[in-house]
Amino acid sequence: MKQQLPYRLKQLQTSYILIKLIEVATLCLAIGLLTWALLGWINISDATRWITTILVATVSGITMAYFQRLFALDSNLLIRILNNNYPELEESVDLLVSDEAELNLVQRIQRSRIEKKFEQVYPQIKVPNNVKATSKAAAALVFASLMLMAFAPDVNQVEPGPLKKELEKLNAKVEETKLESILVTIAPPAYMAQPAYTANDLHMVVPEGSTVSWKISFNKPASAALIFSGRDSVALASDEVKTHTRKITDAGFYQLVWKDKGTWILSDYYKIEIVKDQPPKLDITNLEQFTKFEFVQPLKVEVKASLQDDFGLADASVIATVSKGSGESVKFREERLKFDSPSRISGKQVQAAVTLDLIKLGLEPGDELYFYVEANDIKVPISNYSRTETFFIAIQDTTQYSAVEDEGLGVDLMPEYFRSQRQIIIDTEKLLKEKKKITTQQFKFTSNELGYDQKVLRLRYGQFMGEEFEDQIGGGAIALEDEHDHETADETVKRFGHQHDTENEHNLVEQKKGGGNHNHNHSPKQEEDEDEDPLAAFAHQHDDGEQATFFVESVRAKLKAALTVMWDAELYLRLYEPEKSLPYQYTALKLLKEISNDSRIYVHRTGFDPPPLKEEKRLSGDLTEVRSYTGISKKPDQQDYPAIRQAQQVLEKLIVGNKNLTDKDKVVLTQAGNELAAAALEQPGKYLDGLSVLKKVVEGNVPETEWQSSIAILRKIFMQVAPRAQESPSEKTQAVHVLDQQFLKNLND
Amino acid sequence: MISAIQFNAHVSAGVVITVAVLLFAIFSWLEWKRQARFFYARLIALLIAILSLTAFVLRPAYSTNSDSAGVIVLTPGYNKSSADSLKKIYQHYHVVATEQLDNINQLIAHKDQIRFVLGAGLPAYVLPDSGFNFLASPLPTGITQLQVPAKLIANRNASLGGVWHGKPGTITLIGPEGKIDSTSVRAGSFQLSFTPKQPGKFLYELEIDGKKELLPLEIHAPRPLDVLILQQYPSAEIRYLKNFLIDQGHRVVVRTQISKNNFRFEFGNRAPATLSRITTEALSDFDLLVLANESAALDEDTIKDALRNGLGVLWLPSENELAKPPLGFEFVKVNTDTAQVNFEDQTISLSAWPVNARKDFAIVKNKNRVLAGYKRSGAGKAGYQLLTETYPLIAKGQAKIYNHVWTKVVETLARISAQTTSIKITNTFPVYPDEPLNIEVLAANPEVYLDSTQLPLHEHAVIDDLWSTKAWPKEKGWHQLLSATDSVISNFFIPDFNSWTALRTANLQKATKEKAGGSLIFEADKLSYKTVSPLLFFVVFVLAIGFLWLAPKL
Repeated sequence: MKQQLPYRLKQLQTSYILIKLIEVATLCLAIGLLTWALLGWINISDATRWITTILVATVSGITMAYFQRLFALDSNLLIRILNNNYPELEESVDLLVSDEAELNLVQRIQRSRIEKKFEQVYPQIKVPNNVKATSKAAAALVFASLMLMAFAPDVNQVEPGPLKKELEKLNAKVEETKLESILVTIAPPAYMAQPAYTANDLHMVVPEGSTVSWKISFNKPASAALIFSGRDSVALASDEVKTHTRKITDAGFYQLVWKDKGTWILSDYYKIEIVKDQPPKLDITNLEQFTKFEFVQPLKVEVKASLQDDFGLADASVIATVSKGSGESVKFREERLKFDSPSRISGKQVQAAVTLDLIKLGLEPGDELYFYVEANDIKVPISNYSRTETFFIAIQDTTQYSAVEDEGLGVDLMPEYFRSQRQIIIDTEKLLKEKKKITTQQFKFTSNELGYDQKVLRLRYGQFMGEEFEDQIGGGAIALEDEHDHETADETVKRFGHQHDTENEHNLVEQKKGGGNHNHNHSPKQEEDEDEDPLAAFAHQHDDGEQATFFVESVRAKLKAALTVMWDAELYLRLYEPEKSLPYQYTALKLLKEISNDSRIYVHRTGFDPPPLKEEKRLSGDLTEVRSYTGISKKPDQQDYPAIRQAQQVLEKLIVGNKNLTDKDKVVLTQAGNELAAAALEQPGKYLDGLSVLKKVVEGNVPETEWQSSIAILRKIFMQVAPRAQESPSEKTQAVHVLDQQFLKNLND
Repeated sequence: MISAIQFNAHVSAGVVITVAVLLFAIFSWLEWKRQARFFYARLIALLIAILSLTAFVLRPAYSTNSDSAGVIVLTPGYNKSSADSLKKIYQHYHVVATEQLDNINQLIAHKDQIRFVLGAGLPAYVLPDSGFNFLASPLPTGITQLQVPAKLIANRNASLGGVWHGKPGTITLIGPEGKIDSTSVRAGSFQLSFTPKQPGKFLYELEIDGKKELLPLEIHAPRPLDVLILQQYPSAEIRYLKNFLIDQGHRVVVRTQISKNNFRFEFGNRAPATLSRITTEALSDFDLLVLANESAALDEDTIKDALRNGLGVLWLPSENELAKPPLGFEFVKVNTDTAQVNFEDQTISLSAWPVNARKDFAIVKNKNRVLAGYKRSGAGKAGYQLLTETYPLIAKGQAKIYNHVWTKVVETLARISAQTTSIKITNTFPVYPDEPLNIEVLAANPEVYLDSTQLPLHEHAVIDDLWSTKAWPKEKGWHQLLSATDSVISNFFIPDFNSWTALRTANLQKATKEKAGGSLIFEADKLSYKTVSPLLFFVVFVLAIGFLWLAPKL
């Protein structure tokens, strides 16, 4: 027991110091982290950042340690702490640590008492600490620094790293006149409202129309020039510091040259790429491309459009065209409408709206309004323009369902039976009204007759779909006529009712033959012939009806729908159920009406005024003014790159290992370089590297190790530049021995 | 050996011996009559004199130890154990390893002594014509056969094939623009296809297992043709065909009939000229005559005449002409008026006249149906195109197919223009530097230069105008053979020594085997004879006669 006592005290002391140290260290690290994060907001080098951080952390650590009295630790500290915190030890802990021999009796008694008490108290002793507070403080600091790091600006990027490297590279070959610095400032055009900035690379990507200025300083005055796109060179003033300012409108590349001890130093090529100002993006959000309205007052349509541009919109409006009338008398009137809200279009993104008062625009039933939205952006001097698709608004013609025969069209598309659908409807309605008055026989007969009319009408329209042939339309008028009289009602129902959906509905004639009604004696050969469709040899088989193109796609679709509905209308008439047939007939009528209106768009597209014909000249057969005529045409001029083609041959020579360029080769390669430069103007990113390599090869500056790869790059680029031509026939040549020639000539005689 | 001595007498040996015996008889009788001393010695001297005189006429030759002159040639890849056993058997043979020679041409001097060739083989020009044995080594890994089209034309799909000898791998064709085509190969044949873009001489590469071989390809630009198109009325088909030809730089004349005596002429890429009448002479300026919806019945004889002289005629029928086609075409009716045409992986449907001609040579064909065909007539070809509407292909963005079909039709039919000189290299690729290149020239009075050095030519003994020569190109790389009289050029490539080893070995083995005859005969060693110098006999004769003269005086 006794022996343990000093150790226990020692243990307590050690743990006290340890806890204090950990607290200080934690705070120290947290402060260091905060400093690190804070320094991220200032533009300083990494080394400075580290040193500062370590300094701050150390200083704060020492300070804290000082205030925690870690430097002034003595054994009494623990005694004081124990005495203060544990009254049961009766302020006598100091007795425990002093030498027993030096103590007087009372002290010894007290000491042995306290020893026992200490043994009891020991397990409960807690060294006083600030662990909780410290960890909270540290957590707060760490959090703060994390936030600071997350939102730190990228200040370090401004450091012109690549530029410095480039300068070193340029100065590598120079003896006297060294480049000290190049500062490239890019000022985007004023309307973009973007601040000017310094480029950190000599290759640059600039907004279209930017003003770029180069500030080039040398260590001594020398003549220097900037060469733009290989042809436009600008001599720079022969001071030490040279500046040049230029407005960039096209992509291209540039090169810096200067004189060093009498020789010209040529830099690499640097590309200038352009970011184009995009035209506005427009969209009409609340309407379908084709919209139809009944004619009801008040007739107002709200058009909502979303307008967007990358730098700002200048103006936008709605162009509306009203088309009236039909056939040859179609008239168009165009109006430019401003948006109601907002009244002035500006900004990068605008939700604009305008209410079209169709009545005010002068639309009447049957008329159509075509409109689109157009907008300009704020680009100067020429703004970008864009427009939406054309939208259509039609007012339905409810009153006039009569025929519109568009004779104005180049082809008279409207058949004479155009009125018949209406007529069939009227007759069907009449039949239904009279149903009770007439006999069933008569009712059925009339219904069937109407069905026949419906069929003929369908065939008529079928022609416009290109369904010229009976087999495509189904049945066949003539064949039907033949059987019409012989047929019983049952057969009719069977044929038109049940078999309607089979695949063979288009082959009724064939089926009749197969059915065995006509029992001719066919010889086997004849039958075989007929199986092969004897018509095929004589018929003028055109394209399939499915692909006929009398009409534009939407009209075709409508006509097709009308034909399908007519099939159903006919079916129910044939089944003596005219009341079921009527809805189909109405649908068919509606579709036909729409088709007739659609033809207007056709007129708008293809309108052509032929010059008047002189009546007396027509069909006179006078050929006196007809003369022979000679025309000349030439192969279109293509960019052919003759020097590049020659250079390709030079490269093929070089690839075998011959590294000596003759003067002639150099001339060829230089000319190819000029052609490549022209191509690089259009695509600097693609060919500029090649131009640099070519320059090195011509100058003889290619290291041994890079020779093969340089030649490979050039071969590839030359191959890419030269355009791929088309396959073309070629004259064949052959040296034929005279004897062979004679033999061939006389072969067939 | 029986034939150790042989006589190369210019006179029959029997006559010589008879005369000698007679002479001996006469002179020995004379000696006997002289009654002098040393009769027997004189008789022997006489015999010696007569014998040496006989030998003088008979010219005896003795067989030398011929075996010592043989040469065993060890070429790369030879089998060491067979070489060793051969050395053991023919100890006196010289052994030459080609790898130790500076130049293989050094062997030419010992050409006739070669008895054995081991390994890869030797080029034909250092081999004797026969009488040696060849022990071939197995082929090394690599491409052992290569077929490249004789003439490559820019922008036209071409394929090259070959035989790969080695482990399975991937073979890649690399052009100046980068990788073009690749295929996986096992041991056996392979096929690669590509469309060269630019005309010129290019070095492509064949890569397999990281090993690259330079493949020299000369791409020719298409040569323009002269085309005359006659039509009675304009049609879209002809308009597009004309535009296609003019755009490609061909010289085109289109004559369209306006009225009976009036024509509309269009001259594409050539100067206007009058061409109201079709004469044989006028047609000789053209390579192809296109008759579009026009059978040119009036000029049929002229056209047939021109046809025999090499003109190509392309007839594009109109419907009413089909029943009675011109130029002796014969058609059979078929049922369909559309036809399927295959192009690369696509099959497209085109409208076509419902006829077929099975007898003719096909240009465009689908199974048994000839869609464009021709028949030969003299030196020319008369053809037709039964596809009626090909121009919509251009509008549909399938211009490639249009170009392909018409390129084929036009090129097949067009006149093959006569070249005055043809230069042909008969060696197989590869030929290394300092090896002989066998050149054949077909021309009347050729003057051929190899890279500006004129080559001596000698004409064939029997065939007129056929000349041949040998050239020894010294450097690797492209070389040019130029005929100075008409600037016909033939380019060829000399590769580096270490390239195409497998192909080279295969070629050498083939050549060597052809000369060796393929069978191994050890008794084939040839004997060589050495004539005994007549001076020896002369001296003996003089001594013998001298004794005869001296003997009576002793």
